[in-house]
This record gives sequence, structure tokens and C-alpha cells, in this order.
Amino acid sequence: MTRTDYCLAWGLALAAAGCGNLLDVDNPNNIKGEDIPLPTAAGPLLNGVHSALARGINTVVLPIATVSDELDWIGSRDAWRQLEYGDLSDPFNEFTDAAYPNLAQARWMADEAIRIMEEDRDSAFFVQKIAVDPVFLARAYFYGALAYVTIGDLFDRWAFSDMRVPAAPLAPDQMRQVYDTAIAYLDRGYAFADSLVRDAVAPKPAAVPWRLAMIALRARAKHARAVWDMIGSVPTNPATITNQGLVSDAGALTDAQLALSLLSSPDWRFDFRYSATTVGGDFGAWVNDRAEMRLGDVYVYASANNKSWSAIRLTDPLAGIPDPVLQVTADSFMTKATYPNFTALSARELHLLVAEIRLAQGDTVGFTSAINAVRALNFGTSFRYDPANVAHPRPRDMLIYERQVNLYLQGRRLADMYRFGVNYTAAAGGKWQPTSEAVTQPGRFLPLTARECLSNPLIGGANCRI
Amino acid sequence: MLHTRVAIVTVLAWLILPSPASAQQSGGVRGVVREASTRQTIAGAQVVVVGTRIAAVTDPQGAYTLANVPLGRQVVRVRVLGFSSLADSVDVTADAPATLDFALTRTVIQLEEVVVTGAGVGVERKQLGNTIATVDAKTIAAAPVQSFSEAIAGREPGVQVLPSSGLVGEGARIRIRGNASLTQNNEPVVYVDGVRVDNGGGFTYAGAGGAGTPSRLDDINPEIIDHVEILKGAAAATMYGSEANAGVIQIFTKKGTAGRPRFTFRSDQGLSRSPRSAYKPLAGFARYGTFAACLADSAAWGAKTAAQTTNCRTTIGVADRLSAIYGEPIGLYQTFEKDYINELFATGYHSSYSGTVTGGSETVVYSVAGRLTREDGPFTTAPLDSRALANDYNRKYFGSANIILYPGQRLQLRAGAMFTDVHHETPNNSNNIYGVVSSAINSKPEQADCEESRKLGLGGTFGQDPGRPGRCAGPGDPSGSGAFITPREAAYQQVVQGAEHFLGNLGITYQSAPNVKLELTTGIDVTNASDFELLPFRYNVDNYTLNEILGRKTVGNRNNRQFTLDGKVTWSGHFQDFTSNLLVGTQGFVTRERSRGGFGRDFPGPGIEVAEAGAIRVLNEAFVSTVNLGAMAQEQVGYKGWAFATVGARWDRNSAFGETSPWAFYPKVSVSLVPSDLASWHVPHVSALRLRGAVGRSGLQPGAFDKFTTWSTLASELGPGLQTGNLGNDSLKPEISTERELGAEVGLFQNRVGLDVTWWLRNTVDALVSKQYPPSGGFPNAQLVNIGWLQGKGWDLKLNALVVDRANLSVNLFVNGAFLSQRIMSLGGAAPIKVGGSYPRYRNFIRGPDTLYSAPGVIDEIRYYAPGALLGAAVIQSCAARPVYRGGANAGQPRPCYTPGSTVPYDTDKNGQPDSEARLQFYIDSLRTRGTAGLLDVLNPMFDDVDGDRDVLDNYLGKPTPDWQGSFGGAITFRRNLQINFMFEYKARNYTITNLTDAFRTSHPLIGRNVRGAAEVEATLLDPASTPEARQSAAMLWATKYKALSPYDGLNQNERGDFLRWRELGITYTAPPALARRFGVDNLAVSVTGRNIKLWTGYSGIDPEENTIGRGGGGQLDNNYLDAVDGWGAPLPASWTLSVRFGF
Repeated sequence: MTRTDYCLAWGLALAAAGCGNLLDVDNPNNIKGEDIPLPTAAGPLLNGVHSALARGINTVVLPIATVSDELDWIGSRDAWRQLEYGDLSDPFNEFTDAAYPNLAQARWMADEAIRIMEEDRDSAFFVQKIAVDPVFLARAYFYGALAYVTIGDLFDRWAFSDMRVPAAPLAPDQMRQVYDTAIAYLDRGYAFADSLVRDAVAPKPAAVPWRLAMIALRARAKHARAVWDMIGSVPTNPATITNQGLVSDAGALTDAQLALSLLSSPDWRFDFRYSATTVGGDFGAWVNDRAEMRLGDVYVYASANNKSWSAIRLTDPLAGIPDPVLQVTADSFMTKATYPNFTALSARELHLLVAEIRLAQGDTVGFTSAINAVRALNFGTSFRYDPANVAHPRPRDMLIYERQVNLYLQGRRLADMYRFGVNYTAAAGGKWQPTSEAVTQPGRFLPLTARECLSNPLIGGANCRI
Repeated sequence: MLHTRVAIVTVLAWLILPSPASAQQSGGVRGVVREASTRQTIAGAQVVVVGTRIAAVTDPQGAYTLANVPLGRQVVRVRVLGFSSLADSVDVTADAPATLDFALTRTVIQLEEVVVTGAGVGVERKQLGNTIATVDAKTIAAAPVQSFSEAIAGREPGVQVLPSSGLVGEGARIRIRGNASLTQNNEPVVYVDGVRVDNGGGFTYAGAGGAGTPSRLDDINPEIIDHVEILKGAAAATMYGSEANAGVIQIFTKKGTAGRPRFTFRSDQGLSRSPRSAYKPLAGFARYGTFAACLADSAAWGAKTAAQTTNCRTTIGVADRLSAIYGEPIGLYQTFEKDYINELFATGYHSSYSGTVTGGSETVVYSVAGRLTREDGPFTTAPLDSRALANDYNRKYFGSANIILYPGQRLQLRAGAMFTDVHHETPNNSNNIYGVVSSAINSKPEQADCEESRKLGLGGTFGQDPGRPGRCAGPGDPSGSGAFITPREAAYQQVVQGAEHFLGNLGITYQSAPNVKLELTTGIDVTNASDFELLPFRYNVDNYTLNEILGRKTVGNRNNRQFTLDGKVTWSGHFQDFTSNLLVGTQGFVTRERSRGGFGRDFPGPGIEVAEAGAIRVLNEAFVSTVNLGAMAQEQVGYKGWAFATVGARWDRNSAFGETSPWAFYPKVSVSLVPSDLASWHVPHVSALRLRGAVGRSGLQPGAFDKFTTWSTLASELGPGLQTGNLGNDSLKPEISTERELGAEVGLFQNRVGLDVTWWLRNTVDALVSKQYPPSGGFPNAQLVNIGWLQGKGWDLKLNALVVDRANLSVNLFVNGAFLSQRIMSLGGAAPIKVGGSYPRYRNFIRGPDTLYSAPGVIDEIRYYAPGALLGAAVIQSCAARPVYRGGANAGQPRPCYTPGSTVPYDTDKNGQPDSEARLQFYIDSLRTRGTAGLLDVLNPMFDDVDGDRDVLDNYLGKPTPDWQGSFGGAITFRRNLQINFMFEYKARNYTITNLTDAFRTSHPLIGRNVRGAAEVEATLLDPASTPEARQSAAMLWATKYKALSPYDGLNQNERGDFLRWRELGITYTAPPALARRFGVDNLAVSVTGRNIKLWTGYSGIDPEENTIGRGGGGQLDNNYLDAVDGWGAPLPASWTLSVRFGF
């Protein structure tokens, strides 16, 4: 081999191997992490939080609705049946395990958005960020608060890790803190949104709906915290139902009344909307498309092939007709097929909060007024409290009923069934098995699932079940 | 880039310099190569002038001609597979061609065979310290081979070709010595004539469910394969660097030979048929005598009248309805069966036509080939609906051509091209609730109803077709679909793929000096695969399914381009008793893949078949690019022709490595000793012996973009959005496999018996693990990190014997086997990784001994798990087995167990102890008293917890890969003209199949309990007339045999999967030349071949080789470790083919 051969060979090898710039391959599919705090990313970041939260809430409410009487299982995946039978603390249940990370992601993203927005709040950089839309910070607070409220409502435990840094989970009896965090976010968010609306120099009308959403959510958060006080620390502590399950929270009442005074329309609601070009809602995919569940027998009559429903079963206790609001909700749900809306907040719920607190305070007049405000939205017969008529619905039953139909498929029903003692056992024609957790430990909600336990060294697999 | 271009230009300039050798005088040599014992001529033998690159291949008459041979005494060597190599000398003059004939002796061991090796240059096998498996075209010529996958299946120990189902056009997964990677692609990389090709498979956005997924490797026409070399692991494939952990397959295509054009043609016509009664019949029973009786039983339905009416009309067995539909009396609680599924399989048909022409001159040779294949599989929708669209069909056009130019004695220019056009259709299948077969499997005969026909006033009282028992007069659900879709509606769905695959290569070989050779190979492989799935508008012809009934068209396109540039310089020399072969080179690959797809659903009307017409539309697009650049050097030293040592290394850079990762370095060293080549060798009966050892490394790079921390897109109703994506890892590097090999080849009795034994040990360190960080940290996707350690070891054994070698009869038998043991030595503390995503029925896990899963102090029953190990639920054992906790705080203490005759494996009172028989009776009676319709749904056996860690789903249930896998067979030749080839394949020992199909069929309340045993259990428990003893017995069967699925995932769904399959039979008659000429051709052969002829197994499922995800049907982890899962697939059909081959 000549020297030329050697040189040529080595030259060829090193030349080709040394072409370092060829190795700089860009990823055109995604955005780099370091670009997220840039001002231009602020809008997409918040939109992403919105969408992640829409998905997160939807996915975790679906198993809760299945545990409750709202949905009946008719499909092939019998982890749904496990839920339907009233056992919901299994961390290995495929559907709760699949749902959990979505809400976890939404929570972290919301907190991250708040952190990014707050980080330079007084700097020019922050001004740049919000220059595109002044309500960015308000939106971030709202999303964060809604994530925390949902966590408090539907989970027995939660961990607040940060990227690779794991966090120890809050124990069941510590979960009240998440409502405190949510309310703190809402305090700041509402004040900020209110300041934008009331800015004497350049008021920001765009902040108006977010201000309403935040005060409505704060009312709900305070109400939910009071519900938690009764059933939230299960399984660490047994449920302590007081006042027949009715909440009497002055802060919630004040906020609800304030929110009602700010309503942009009488039947206002904060909906998450889904489409093929955003995220899909689990409800639509699992219920309307795959027919793994259908609307529950408590609410509807099944269709001939049992894959769907044919008519409303639940009748209005006053009018004696199939409930009109349930009819509208069920029709809308089915019509929108894969993408039914998900209602997170509504004027109806605000009225119901007012009604419940009034009733808990012994104010039947106030209760009647509030409950009829809801019924008026349904064009329903007015409720008139008649203690002498035993055949007439009791106010508490009326409240339970109105919550059942007006908050249908919004994730409230299971807590209501627990606190109001709804008998949904198999013996009573329901689905809960007598040895199930829903019967033996009312107040159980979703666990930290296997995916978290197994990856979080501060929990560990053996501590997955509580 | 500039210096690269300069280098390339310099090389090209050098190459076109006039060759001084071309001016020299030369002569020729010709002769005939025959078999020594039979005197039969041998075609395809390689004849070379030693010390030059002058070579030829014998024609069908065994003749060869060598031109331009230097004058003087020359040594000519002839080699051909199956015969001892032979060399002889001849005097070459300029006057006339010299004649030199050869008579070769049959042998079963060939140490002189030339292989190309991982370094890309030819070398005798005996000089290598590592194994290289070779599959020759002759081996497969008489075999029933329709694809590349089938061409290599069962030929070599340790090379596993895994078919998945009986749908046509489906590719097989290929594994070499198991899996070398936990998370990355374990398909070997494949080169055709030095150019890397797309080794992927599957569909893009459309898909059918798993089976029926094509492999791009099957785009290679098996007819053009000359031979295949398989580098089994890191020790052999070191020179392929960061691509080669999973092994390397090199395909060399047939080239032309000098001479007049020679034409060959082949025609195949064949039939295929699925095994009869592969599926257990659908079983069920009637629960009510009449519709009125059903309605009257309000207790069973909670007095919900509407639901009760619905149920009595449709889902629940009512005897008068069923009797009307089936046209026979159906009695109460009497289990009956209907064979609905097997009707979906009839006789398939396949055909192929191929032709080649080869020829050339002294300065140019060429080869052109073409082929057309069509396969229509046994699956049929004919019994369902003549208008159904689902099809099991595959059509391919192959075309290829190559040319080699010899512009001078020192220069060779090569060019080749290959093109394949594929049309593939497959029904929705496997674990797909909208599959045709799966919906039939999920049916319950007692749910059969023709209500939709009745509502239309069609048919009899219940809408049945009076003339066709078991069918409705119009729309309806005659099979009793449990959920989702009727088989007929499923058959209205269509899945189609069209693919074009092009491979082009250019090569230059230049002998710059007698001992220096430069080789340059470059090429491109392009795949363009487009597929679609169509659900026609209102395809719900039975008015049953709710799934996207307004129609949907999903379209997808995958465009994959792979560029190869490979340059090498070799130098060979002699130093007294030593020889030296030095190689330096470089190799670069660029892969670019773009996938696009989307769907449109909800069409405005019938007849629309375009996605654009959908009211709801979604578009997806993704792009991946990977660049790998490597340099290599290798020196091989030989001593007196019997001892050889090789050292070499490769350095790699790859675009997928993290920015802080250094160059990857892969060294190797090997030794080969051939004492039988020593002049002093004399060991009785041992005619050849080689001892070898090798150690080498190779790598596998992570995914193209795994190193980046990224946010992906997530649009919202408010506008474009972002979400957390990949956590990122700056220090990502390739995982490194180090493989050690020790082996020996022994030839006995004049090499009529050959034994090839190899022991190997592979450690993959820095193994890429998809580590799941806590989802509560905001990034739910797992992140690749180099933290794992996977160990594999095994034996490759091959015994070959020429039992009889006479003129009128020769018998050659072989048996090979591969032992494989794989263990996860460490998962770096990461959580167990479940294969198959969140779907809980798949129980294959990647779990290390250091997993976080167990609590401190808990020692697993099995510390080192096989990857893909099955972990799942178990029921407490009988106390006769004396079960104790095998870990945890109570290690060694007795576990809960039951004592037949007094206690049962149930804990219905939830006191943590097994119930007494009386308690179970009480519980069952109470359920019956309450009229619990789903009695079995709440009859839950007691979980076992073997390791005491409170996780009842992690009991070890087996592993999905067998300890032993291999084949045996032989070739028998009668009177030179009649040859019989046969091959059997087997898997044995520690092989567990997840029979998910039957788990559903035995356990599931809505789409199961439709096999006789399970139906009988349920009937017994519900039958008011059953005895307590019968109910007790049924409950025991339920716990120990039939209960499965959530939350008992893994229970009663695993079986031993050992099997023996008669894979191939070939009977070939080769006409004598005189007879052939009567037909006007030079050669003529007729074959009858059979494939998958017979199966012996104790496995009770559809087929022990059926695998639910097919080839590329799932994610990467699924493709690696979702093995041996039988899920609603189709059994491998037996096929028979009549072939005629002739040439002139």
C-alpha cells in the first residue's frame, strides 16, 4: 500500500466522519423548551393550558361519572365495570391510570404558566408578554385554580412534582390545601382582572368574562372545600356528614351572589369545547363513539340494541314529565357525537349554591327563590315549599334533584351521592356492590394511580394502595 | 463538506487513469464442473483465478469460461455451496483456451466459503473468529417461499422469523439472538448489495388492528437473491457501529454471467386453506323460555320495563326467539353451539409469474428480472354480504436490473436498480373491536336477534330468514354481537395500502495495485407507502354499530429515504508465514422520513370515498431525520493459513446523540484456529476442525429527537397551543452491546457430518430505558435515558449430515436449535415498563431487579426477569402446594390457601381468609335469590400475592419467548431428478402464550362466555334446577379455569405454547436435458410445495404463532416485547403450490 493510498483512505474516512454540520438535525415537529418563556409563546402557552385542562378534566370526570349513576357500562373493557360496581381506588385500573396524567400535566402547565407570567411581572419583559392580550395573567390564574379545584374534588391524594423532581403526595386528610391554593390564585386573579376592567385610563373589556369566571369559580371552590370537610379526608378518616350533607359557607354564598350579579346572560356557562382540530373529549369518544358506556338507567331508557338511549326516564318531581333540562343535555350530548361540550361552571350551579346554603341556613324562602331561578331557566314549574303536604317534594330532595339534572355529567354527582346518602346499591336497583368502596367507604375518590406511584420514589409501588 | 468533495474527486480522477494491466497479453480457461460421485454437472459454481479478480459462474450445464487470464501457470479455484472447494493449476497460453474440469465432493461443512463480513470485503469463513450465517439461493429454490421473510425462516439457528397471522401480505418480525435493546428497534438492519434498505413495516395513519401489516423487507423479490449473510450480533457486526446491535442482514442479488442471453421463467399456482375448526364454536344457552316469561321476570331487571323489553328482544337468550332463528329447538339452560366464525374462511388462491434474463460479454454482464405475485387469502366475506369491501389480498410487481462493467482489468463499475409496486388489502382484524373476525369471535349465539328485520316486517315472527337458519331476513344481528359492531358491518370497512419501493445502487471497485483495492458504494432506497381506511357512508347495514356511521376516510403516507455512502480501501500482503489484510474506510447514512396523514369523517351522502368530503377533518404530519457518520479500521493477520487474528474498530457520530456525548467507539477482536489445516493433522474421523472466539461491540442510537426538551402542539378552541412533550436528555448516547462468542466447527467422516456450535454472551449496557418520571411533574411522556443493562446468552447449534451419498440416492439431514436466555440485570431504578401501553390485558413487562416497584426489604420471587415477562393476577393456591410468601415482610410464612373439601378460593365475606364451602354456597344462593343476572360478574375469587408486596397483579406467570427454538429437516434426492425437501420448526420449554382471545371468550359477560365450558358454568349457576354440588363445582371451575380480565388481568389466560410445525415440503422433479429439449427448453423442473402443513401443539388457542400486533402493528416497545399474545387473529393457513420452472 502506497503512502498515497494511506493518505487517501484516511482522508476519505475522516472527511466523511468529520462532517459535523451534517449532524445538526433540527426537529421541525416541536418547539424547544427554552423558547417557551419568550413573549411570543405566551399566547400559545395559555391556549395549550386551556386545552390540556379541557382534556384533563374531561378524562378524570368520565370514570367518576361511571362510578356514579350518571353512566352505565355496556362495553367490553371491564375496568369500567370495576368503577361502575363502586370500586374506584384501584391504582391499576386502566382508565383512571390513563386519565390521571392528563390532569397532572394540566396542573403543572397551569402552574408553569403562572410562574412564567409572574416571574417578570414588574419588568418590561412581562409587559411584552401581556401586550398581545392583557388578560393572559388572569387566564393563567383561572386555569391553575380550576385544575386545583378539580384535583380536590376528585382525588384522594395528589403529588405536586416539578419536571424530574418528585414530590411527596399530600395525604388524604391534607387535601384541603389544594382548595386553599385555588382560592389564593383566584383572589389574585380576580383582583388583577378587576383592575383591568376598572382601569381608569384604558379599561380592558376583554377581562370581563374572565373576572366573572374567576368569581364563579371561587364560589364553587369554597363550596367544594366545605363539601370536602364532610367527605374529603376519606379514607384516612371516615366521612362526617353534617347538616344532612348540606353546605353552609358564607364565603361561597357571597361569591356566588357576586358572580350572579355579574352574569353576562341568565344561563351563562363556562364550557370547554372540543373538536377534531383540538383535543377530543373522552366522554364523546367512549360513550357516543365506542359505546363503552351509555347514559345511565336512572336517567334514560335504553335503545333497542342497548347501545344508546331512546327516551328520558327521569321525571320532574313537580311537573311529572320527563325532565326537560335532562332532555336538552342528553340530546346535545348525543348530537355532538365525539365532541360534546363539557361544562365547568354555570349560572345554574351558582343558583344551586345559593339555594343550598340558604337551605342549610334554614332560609327556605331564599332557597325557594334560588331554586326557582334555576327552574325558570328550564321553563319549569315553580317550586313552592309546602311543609304540610307530605307528597310534595322536600326542599332537600328538590335540591338534590335539581343538582342531579342541572349538573349532569359535570363531575358533581358522586360527591352528591355520598353526602346526600343516595342508595345506589345493587339491592336498590343500582350498580354498587355491597362490599364496594362506594358503599363501605363513602367519600372515596380517585387514587394516585400506578403511573405516579411507580415513577415517584417518594411513594413507591408498595404504597400505591391506601 | 469541501474536503469531502475534494477527496471524492481525487478518488474518481484516480479511478479513470488508464490501466497498465490492460496492455498485457492474456489467454483463456474453460471447463466443466461436476459432482464427483454422480458426475452430474453443477450450475452456479464460482470459478476464480487465484490472485486475480478474474472469475466466472458455471452455467446450467456446469460450463465456465475465464477470459483475460494472465499467461503462464495459474491456479484456478472453484467454490460452490454444498461442495468442498477445489483448486487446480493450468498453463495458460495465448494460442488457445486451456481446458480444466473439476469434480467436486459433497460436504456439509465449508470453511473455505467466501463471505463478505461486516467489513464489507470478501474473506474465507475460516479466517473469521465470529459466526456468519449464510442462506444460499439453492437452499430456497425448492422451498415454498413467497417472500424474503420466508426465505430465511428456519434456516439458521438464532435467526427467528416470527409470523403473526394467516392474513396474506403480512410481514414477519425478524429477531437475531433475541432482542438486544429494551426500547429501540430490534429489527436487524438490512443491506441489499451494500445499500441499506428500509426495514420498517406496517401502516401509517390507517391501520387494521395489527395483523395484515406488511414488511418492507418483503418488497425484495426472493427470486433475485443469490445469497444472504446474517451477522448475528455485535461480535460480527462491529463494523456497522451505531446501527448494528440487533444484527445485520446482507442480501446479495444474482448477477449476470458472460455468455449468450439466458432466460428463465417460473409459474406458481397454489391454494391455501385455514385449519378447519381453528376457532371454537360459539356457545350459549337460553335463560328464558318465551318472550313473555322474560318480561315477567322483573326481578332480574330491576323493574325497568324498557330495558327489560330491550333485553328480552335482543341480548338475553330467550328460547322461542332462538329456536325460530336457528330453526331448531333451543332448551332452557341447555348449552348449544353455533359455528359462525369458521365460515369466514374458505379456500385461498395465489399465483406468481417470474422471468429473468442474464448474459453479457467479457466487458459487461447484466441481469434483469421481473415478477408478478397475487395472493387472495382464505379469509372471505362471502357468507356475510356480497357487497362487503373487506378483503385479504396482496399483489406485487417486482422489477430489477443490474449491470457490471469492466472497462479495464483493474476497474469494475456496478449499477443496479430494484422496483416493487405493492397493492395490499386486509380486513380490520386482531385486537380491534371493529374487526370482522373479532366481532364474530365476540358474538354470543344466545344474543342472536333479527329485531331490525322484524321492525321492517321482514322474515318470520322474529325477523328470521325462514329459508336460512341462523340468518336474518334483512338487517339484524344473527351472530349475537356482544357489542360495537356486527361482522357484516365490520366487513363493510376497507383497509388498503399501496406502496412503491425503489432501490438504486452504484459501485466502483478499483484495484490500484495487485494488493490494494478501493471500493465505493453509494445508493438510495426510497419507500413511498400510502394507505387508507374507508368506512362508507351509512355502512351500519344492520343498524347496530354507532361508530362513525356517516363514514370516514383515513389516509396516510410514509415516505422513507435512506442514503448510503460507503468507501473502503483494503490492502493485503505477505510477510514470510504471515498474511495481512488491512482495511480502512468510512460509512455514512442519512435517513429521512416524512409521514403525512389525516382523516375526514361524517360524509354528506353515499358514494363518497375522499377524506376531503368529511365534515370533520384532521391533518397530521411528522418528519424525522437521522445522520450517522462513521470511520472504521481493521487488520487481519493470518499465520500459515490456519491461524487468524482480527482487530478492528469503528468510530461513530450520530445526529441522535446528545450534544455532550463523545464519539461512539466500537472495538472488536477475534481469533480463528483451523488445526485441521495443519499438515500434521490426523485425528481419526475428524476431517475438519475450527475453533474460534470473538468479542466485539456495536451500538444502537436513540430516536432522532429524543435528546431535545420539547413542547408539542396542542390546539385549543381559543387558538394554537403548546403542551409539554419530551423532557430531553443532553447526554443521550447509544446503548452498547458487547458480545462474546466461542465456537467450533467440526467435520466428521470426510465432512459428511458437520457440527457447528456457538456459545454467546451479550451484555447491553447504557441500555436506553424509557424512564417514566412522575407524571405529576408535568411531563407524562417517558424519557429515554441510558440506565439499563440487558443480558442475553445462548447457544446456536447446527448439525448437518450427508447420510447417504450415492449416484441414485442422496439424503442430507439437518437439525438446528438455539437456546436463548435473556435477563434484565438492571433498569437503573426505573419503574417497570408495561408493554402495550395502558391496556391491562397485555401482561408483558420490562422489569428490573432494582425497580422502585417493591418496597424496601421486599425481594422479588424472581430477581432477574426476562424482558416481556408476564406479570399478572393469580388465585390462591391449594394448600397441598404449601405456598409461602417468597418475599416481603412475611417471607417464608404461609400464604393464604384453600383446602379442597373444606375451603374454596373465594373470600366473599372479605375477612382475608378463604371461605368455607358453606359460605360460598350461601353467597351464591343469595345472589340467585336477588336475581342477580350478572352472577359471575360478582363472583370474584381470592387474589394471591406471591411476593407479599400488596400488588396482586405482579405474580410471575411466565415468559413469552421459548428457551429453545429451531428447525430440522432434510433433502432427499432420488435418481438425480427427484428431490424432496422438508423442514419442521419448533419452539419449546418455558414458552408461555397469552391466550387473550379465550380469556375474553371464557370470562367476558358481554363479548364472551361463549365457549362451551364457560357457558356451562354460567348456565349451571343461573339454572334454578341446578344442585348445590353442581354450583360449587362450577364456582371452582370459574376461579381456576375461566375467570379472567380486569381486575384479574393475567389470570387464566396463559398457556404453554410449545409446538412443532411441519413448515415446508417441496417435491421437485427436474427433467433430464433430453426431456426438457422436447419441450423446447434447456431445463425444466416441476415442483409441488407445501407450507404450514401440520401443527402439533398442546396449545388450545387459535394458533401458537398468532401474535396480535403483527409486524409493526404497535409501538416500538410492542414490537419488541409484545410476544406470544394470541388476540383475535387468524391461524396460519396451509398452502400448496404447483410450480413450473424452465429456461433456455
